[in-house]
Amino acid sequence: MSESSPHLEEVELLDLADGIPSQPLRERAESHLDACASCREALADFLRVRAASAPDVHAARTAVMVTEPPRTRVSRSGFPQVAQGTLLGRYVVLERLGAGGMGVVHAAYDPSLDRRIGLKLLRALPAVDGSAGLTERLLREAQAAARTRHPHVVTVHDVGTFGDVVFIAMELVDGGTLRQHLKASPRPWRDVVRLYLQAGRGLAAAHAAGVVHRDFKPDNVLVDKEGRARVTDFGLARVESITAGVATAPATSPTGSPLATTLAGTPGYIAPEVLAGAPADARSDQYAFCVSLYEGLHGQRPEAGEAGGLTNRSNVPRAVHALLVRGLSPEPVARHPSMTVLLDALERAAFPRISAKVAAAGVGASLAVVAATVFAVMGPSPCADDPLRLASVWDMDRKAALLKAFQATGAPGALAAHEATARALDAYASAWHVGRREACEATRGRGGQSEAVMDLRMSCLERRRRELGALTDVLLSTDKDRVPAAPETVQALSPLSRCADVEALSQPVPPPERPEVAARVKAAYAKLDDVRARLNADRWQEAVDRVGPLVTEAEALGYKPLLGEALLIEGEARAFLRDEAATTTLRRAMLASLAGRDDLHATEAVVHQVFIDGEVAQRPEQAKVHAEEARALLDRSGGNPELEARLLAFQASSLVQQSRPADALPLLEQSLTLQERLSGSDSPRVARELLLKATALRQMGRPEESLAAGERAQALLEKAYGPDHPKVAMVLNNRGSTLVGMGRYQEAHDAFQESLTRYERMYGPGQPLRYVISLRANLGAVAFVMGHYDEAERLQREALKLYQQQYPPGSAYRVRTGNNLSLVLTNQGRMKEALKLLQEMEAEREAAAVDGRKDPVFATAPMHATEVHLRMGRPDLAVASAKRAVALLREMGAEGQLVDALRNLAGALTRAEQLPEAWRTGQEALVLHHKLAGAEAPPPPDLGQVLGELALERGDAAGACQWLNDALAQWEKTEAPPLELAAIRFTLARALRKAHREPERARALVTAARDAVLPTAEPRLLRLEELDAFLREH
Amino acid sequence: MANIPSELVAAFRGAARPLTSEEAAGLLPVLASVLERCETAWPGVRLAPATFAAHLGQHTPAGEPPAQALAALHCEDLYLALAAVEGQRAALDALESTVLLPAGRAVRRVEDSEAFVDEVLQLTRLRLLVEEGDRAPRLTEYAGRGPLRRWAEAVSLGIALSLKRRPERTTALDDAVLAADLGAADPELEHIRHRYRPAFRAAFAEALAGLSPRDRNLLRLGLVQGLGVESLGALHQVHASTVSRWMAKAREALLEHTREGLARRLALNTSQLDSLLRVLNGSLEVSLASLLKKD
Repeated sequence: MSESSPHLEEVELLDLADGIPSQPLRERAESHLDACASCREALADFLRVRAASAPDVHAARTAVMVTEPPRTRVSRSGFPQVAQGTLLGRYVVLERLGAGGMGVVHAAYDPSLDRRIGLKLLRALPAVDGSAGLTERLLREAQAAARTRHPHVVTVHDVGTFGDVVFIAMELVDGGTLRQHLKASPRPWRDVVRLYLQAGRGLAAAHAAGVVHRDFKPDNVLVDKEGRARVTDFGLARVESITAGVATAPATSPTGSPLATTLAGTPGYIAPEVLAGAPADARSDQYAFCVSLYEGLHGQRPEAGEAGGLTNRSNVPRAVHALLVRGLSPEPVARHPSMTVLLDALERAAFPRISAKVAAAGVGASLAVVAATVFAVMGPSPCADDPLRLASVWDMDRKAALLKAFQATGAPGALAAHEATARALDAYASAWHVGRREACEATRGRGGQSEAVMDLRMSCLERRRRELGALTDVLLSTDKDRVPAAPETVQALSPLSRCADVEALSQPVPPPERPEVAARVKAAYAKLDDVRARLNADRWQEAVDRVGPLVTEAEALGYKPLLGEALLIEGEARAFLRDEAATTTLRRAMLASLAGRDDLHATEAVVHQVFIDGEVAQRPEQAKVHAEEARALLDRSGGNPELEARLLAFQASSLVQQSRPADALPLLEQSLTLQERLSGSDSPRVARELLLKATALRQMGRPEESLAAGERAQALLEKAYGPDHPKVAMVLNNRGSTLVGMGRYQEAHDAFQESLTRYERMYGPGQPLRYVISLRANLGAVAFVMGHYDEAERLQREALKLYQQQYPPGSAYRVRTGNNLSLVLTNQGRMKEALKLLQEMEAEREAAAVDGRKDPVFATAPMHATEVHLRMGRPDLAVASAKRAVALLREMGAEGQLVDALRNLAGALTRAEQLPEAWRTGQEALVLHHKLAGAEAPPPPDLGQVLGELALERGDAAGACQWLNDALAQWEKTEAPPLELAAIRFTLARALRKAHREPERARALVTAARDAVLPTAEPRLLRLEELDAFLREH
Repeated sequence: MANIPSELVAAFRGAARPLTSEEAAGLLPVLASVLERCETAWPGVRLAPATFAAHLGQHTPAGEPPAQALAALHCEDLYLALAAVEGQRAALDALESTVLLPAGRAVRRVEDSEAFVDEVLQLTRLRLLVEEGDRAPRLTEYAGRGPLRRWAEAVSLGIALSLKRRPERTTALDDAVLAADLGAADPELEHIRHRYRPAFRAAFAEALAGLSPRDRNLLRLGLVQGLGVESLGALHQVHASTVSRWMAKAREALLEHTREGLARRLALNTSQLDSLLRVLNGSLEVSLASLLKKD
C-alpha cells in the first residue's frame, strides 16, 4: 500500500525539514519514506538546505506581507501587545526588549534565517478610509529605505503588516543607542567625531541609493559591542508621524488629513526649510546630522537664535567647528554639497594625517570595555545573552591576565600558547552562552520544555561555568612547563552538549532536598569542579590531594552520584600518575556511581580501568575483563559515542602493548569512525586513534601506511596547537621508530632529533626528563644501526642509568634499553658483558612476572642472547634461548613480534643443523607475516635471509639464491652499513657457487663482506679464515 | 458588494459535500465576510464571487462543519492563487512581490547567485502558472492549508534542489549502500563472502525489514545520504545525542538480526555458530558493509 502512496509534496518536505510536520504528515512520511528512495533523497536535500547557514539574504527585496491573519491586540495606548511565543508570520516572538516612542521591540526567531532578529512593532494604523492604500505607500517607501546595505546601517530583513500592525524585522544589535553610549561616560571629542563619522558614512550610503532618513538623531544610531555605530530606522519617521498623529490627536485634525498636518522628524533636529513645509531631502538629513554631532560634542543642541555665530563651547578644533556651522546653515544651498563632502572634510580636520582605517580600528579598541549597555537597558529578559554571566570566569580582563601570566613564566612560545588557549576558551564561552539561551528558550520561548527540565539543563550549565572558572584559575597560576599544554587543557573541559542531553541528565538520583544537606552537596560539587579543572590541566598530584576531603564529605553526605564522581576524578588523576592504586579507586567509583544510578560516570570509571591495566600496569587479562564490563554498561545506558570511542581506543592500546596489532586495528578503525563523527575528522581528538594506528601498522610490517597515519596525526595536532606541543613531539618520536624499521636511518635520526629539539624548546634543556631519556635512547639505537658503536654505547648507558633511577625493576623501559645496549656490546665483541647484561634483563622479567605484568619486550633479551651464543659457537644454547623467546610471545599472543622471534629461532636451528624443525619454523614465520602484512607483502629481509640460509643448508641452492637475492636487494635499498650486510652477502656467495652461477659476483660479494668485518673485534660476525678460504678456492 | 448571498452558498454547495440546512444558513455570513476580506487584501484583484465560492467549496475539508473548516483555510491566499491562474495582471503582480520574491530568499541558500535565483524563479513561475502537457498549472493544486508563501517557497526549493542534484546521485539508491558507513573491506571474510553471499544478503534484507520504519529511515538518511545527527535531530525534534543513540541501537539490532538470520540459514548449531561468530568477531559489522556495497 505504502508503495503506491503519492510522493511527498514540496511543502510537506519543507515542513519535515523544518521539524514542524503535523502528526498525520509525520506518520504518512514515515511509511512513505521507507518505500521511496527518491523522496528520501529529496528530503535529505531539503534538510541539508535548511541546515546550511543562511547566506547573505539582505540583497533580496522585502515584501509586504498581509497574508497572515493578525493575532495581536492593541492596548489602549496604541501599543501592539504580543504575548511571548506568538507566531507572527514566520516569526516566533520572544522576549520583549523594550518600548520606545514608536512602538515595542521584541526579540524574535526567524526560522528562515535561523537566527534571532529584532522585531519592531509600530502603533496600530487607524482605520481611516483609504488608509490601506496609505499604509502600502508608506511601507513601500520603508522597504526602499531598507534596501540600503552598509556596515554602518542596521540591516532590515523585512517590512510589512500583520493585520493592522506594521512590523519591521531587523538585525538585532547587541548594544545601545549612541545617546546612551555617550551619556554612559564622557568621551574625548575625537571619539565622538569618530562615531559620528561612521554613522555619517551609513547616512551617505543611503543618500547614494536615493533614500532620505528624515529623522536622524543620536537615538537612531546604535553602537554595538564592537563599538561600531550603525544608523537605524530609515524612512520610518513618516510612518510614525502618521500613526502617532492620528492615535494621539485625532481631535486636532478636523480636516481628517493626517498626512498634511503632521511633520516627520524630531523637534530640534528638523531643518528650518522642512519646518516651513518643504520636503525632506539629503540636505535636511545633513542638518540633523550636524545638530546631533554638535550635541555630542557640546552636550546640548545648538540654540536656534545663535545660528549665525554658533558658540564653540569646548576645545573642539576650529576647523571641525567651522564645518558644523556650515552644515547648520538655515539655507539648504549654503550647506555642504553632500554628506560625503562633509565627512571627508571632517575626517581631515579631526584626524590630520591619519587614515580612515585607523579611525575605525581605534574606536573599536577604545570602546571594548564599555560593551553592552545592550537592549537590556530597555528591559532585561530571562533568555537574553548577558556577557556578565561569565564575568570574572572568562572575560577581557581574564584574557589579558592570562597573557601576563603566560609571559611571566618565561616559557618560550607563550604568546602562541596564549592565543590558542584564548581562542579555545572564547569558543567554549560562546557555546556556553548559546547553550544557556537554548535551554531557556526551550521553556520560555517555544514552550515545549518543562521548567524541571530547564532547571536540570541550567544546573548542568552552571557546573560547566564553574568548571570553566576553575580552569582559568588554574591556568592563571600556571608554570613554565605547563604553558605549552594549555590549549589542550581547554579541550578537556567537559563537553557542553551533555547539558542538552535531557535523557542522560535526568538519570542520576536527584540530590537531597533537605536544604542544609542540599547546600553541602552543592558546595561539594563546586569544589569538585575545581579539582576537575586541575585534572584537565594535567596537575594530577594537586587533583589527588584536593579530592581526598571531598570523597570523605561525599561519604558523610551519603549522596552516591557525588561520591562516584569524586572517586572517578581521583582515579583518573592516579591513572595519569601511573599509580596502580587507581584500579581500586576506579572500582569504588564505579560501584558508587552505579548505586547512584549514574550510569555515565560508572561507565567512565570502568573505561579508565581498561587503560590502567592495559597500558600502565601491563595486565592484559584484567584489562579485557574491564572492557567487557564497560561494554555491558554502555549497552544498558543505550550507548554513549564519546565513551565508546575512548573504550575502543583503550582496548586497542592494550592490544598494541601486547604486540597484537591485527586485533587492535579493527577496534581502532571503529574508534576512529566514532571519534570523527563526534568531533569532526579534523579535530585534534582524532590524533589519539591515529597515533595508535600508526604503531599497530608498524608492528604489522606496513610501514608506509604507518607513516601516513602518523603524518595525518601530526598535521591535525599542529593545526590545533601549533608546532611546539608535547603531542606533536610524541608523533615525531613515533615517526622516527617507524623509519628505523624501514632502514631510513638518517631520516629516523632527524625525526628523533627534531622531537628532542621541540621538547627542549618547550620545557627547557633535558626536560621533560622521561621523554628526553627515551629520545636519547632512540638516538642511540639509530647510532647503532648506522655503525656508530661508541656513540650508541654512550647514549644507551646514559639512558639505562636514568631509567634505573626512574622506574622499578621489571619496567619495560629498563628492559628495552638494556637489550639495545647488549646489541652494541655484541657487535663490539664484548660477549661476556653482553651475556651478563642479558641475564640481568631476564631477571627483571621474573620480577615483573611476580607482579602480574606481561610485555613482549621481555622476549627480546633471549633473542639477543641467541645471537651471542651463535657468535660464541654454542648453537645448542642459542636454540634454547630462541625457543624461550618464542614461547613467551606465544603465551601472550603477541603476533607482531612473534614473526621476528620465529625468524630468530629458525636461524638458530639452521646453525644447529636441525633442518626439518628450522624449515617448519621458517614457514610459520612466513605465514604469520602474510597474515599481518598482507598476502602480497614480501618477507622482511632478515626473514628472507634466514629462509635463504635454510634452503642452502637443505641443498636447495637455486631456492637459496632466490630468497637471498630478494632479501639483499631489499637491504641494499636501506641505509644499513656494510657490516649488517656481510652475513647475507657471504651466504649468497656460497649459494651462487653451489648453483654454479655468476662466479665473479660471488667473489665480489665475499670481498665486500671481508672488508666489512675486518675492522671489527673477535669473535667476528664471520670468521676471516672461512672468507679467505672461499676466495682461495678459485 | 454586488452579489446575491444565496448564489454564493449554491456555488459553494455545488463543489462541496451536501450541506444540512442549518449549515447552509450558518454559511451565508461567513462566506460574505471571507469574500470581503479577500477583496480588501488584494486591491485590484477581482474574482467572480460565485467562482471563488465554488473554489472554496472544493477545498473545504469534508470532515467538519463548513464554517469552521473555512476559518482554518488561508482564504486570501486561495483568492490570490485562483486570480493568478486566471491571469489577472494585479494578481500576478501581487504574487510576484508577496510570494516569489521571498521564495527567492530561500532559494539563495541553495546557491547564492543572482543568476541561479533568477533561473529558479523563472522555472517556478512556469511551473505554477503554465500548463504542462495534460498537467494543470501547479498553482491550482494549492489548497489553502498553509500560507501560499510557504507553499511556493517549497515548490521553488524543490526546483532549485533538482537543478543542483548531481546526476550520479539519482542512481544507486538501493539499500546496498546503506552499510557504506560501516567501514572497509575485511580480507578475513573474503572466502565467506563468496560462499555465503546469498545467505548474507537474505539475512540482511530480513533484518532490515525487521526494523521500525523510523529506524530504517534514520539509517538510510544518516548512512546513505550522509546527513549529520543534527539534521536528523531537527527532523525528529530531538537532541542530536538522542538521534545518535537511536542510530546506534538500530545498527546494533540490524547486525544482531543479520547474525541470527545467517546462523539459521546456514543451519549451524550453537557451537558452530559460536565459532563462526568468533571468526567474524568485530569485523562482521565491517564486512556487512563491504558485502552489501559490492552487490
